[in-house]
Amino acid sequence: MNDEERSNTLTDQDLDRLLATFEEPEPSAALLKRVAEIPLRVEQHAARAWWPFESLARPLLGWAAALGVGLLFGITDAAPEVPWESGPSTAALSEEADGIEGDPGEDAEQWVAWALAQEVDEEAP
Amino acid sequence: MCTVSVIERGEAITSEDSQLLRRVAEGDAQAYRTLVDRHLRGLHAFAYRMLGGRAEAEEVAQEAFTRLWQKADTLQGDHAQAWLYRVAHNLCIDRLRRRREAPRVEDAEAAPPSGQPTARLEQKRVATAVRAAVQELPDRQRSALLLVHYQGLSQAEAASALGVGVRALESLLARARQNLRQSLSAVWAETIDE
Repeated sequence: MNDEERSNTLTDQDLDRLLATFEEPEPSAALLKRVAEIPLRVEQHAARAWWPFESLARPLLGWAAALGVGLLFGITDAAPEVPWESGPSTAALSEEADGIEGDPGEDAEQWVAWALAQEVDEEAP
Repeated sequence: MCTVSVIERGEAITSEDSQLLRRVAEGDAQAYRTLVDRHLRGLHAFAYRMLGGRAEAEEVAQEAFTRLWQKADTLQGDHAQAWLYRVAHNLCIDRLRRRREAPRVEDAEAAPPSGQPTARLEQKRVATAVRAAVQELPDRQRSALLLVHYQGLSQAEAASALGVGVRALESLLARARQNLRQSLSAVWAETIDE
């Protein structure tokens, strides 16, 4: 009879009887003492000493909520667009610009004279 | 009827464990000691049968309860027993891996003293063979067998402890028992012959 044939004759009950011979050791008195003293030796919630949140999910949820609030109020409080019609027309602005170029006026002449004087002063030894 | 009462008893213990776990999370050392009284012996036996050495088994049991005390506040909703066995299983697997990477001298089984009655020696021989057969099982098969057969966990609790589904656990158990049948068949045949 080979092992496979023999294994077929080993019933569940037989196997349980064999397994029952594997003894269960008693924990030592030293282990009982060490385990019982854990609350005295080990600080609880040690992880919270440097991490104020219970889990990573909490701060992530907080950030997500803040982002949502920011998006909501960011959209509703955005600076209103100034209607184009209420400002000066491009034609009016062009005319104003042309006027400055063509006739700088008294102030412009004074500024040019001042700037030239500055350049002369800088070039002087 | 009997099965129902066993299941009800198991559920009652699980419920009590959950309450104890809540109290442990609040720093209640008495609740912690009650959990120790309930589960230390079984946890130690599980680690001993997984690792085959008392010193290592004690280290694993102590580490598992240290983590229980430290992390009780994050375990609400978990079953204390399944959680403890999950931690112990993982610690044992880590140790077995390290042992395979750097083989060490095994805790030698004490030789039977001379002059023992023959029946006693025979009993010792069978026990040694069973111990060797169990320890030769693949790690997950061994864990499944120990949790269900020796520690009396339900299949759902054992599956939770091992992080597998119930069907996977059933498969592990079936393969473990089949492997044991094959490796112990010779021992069984000799026992019957004698």
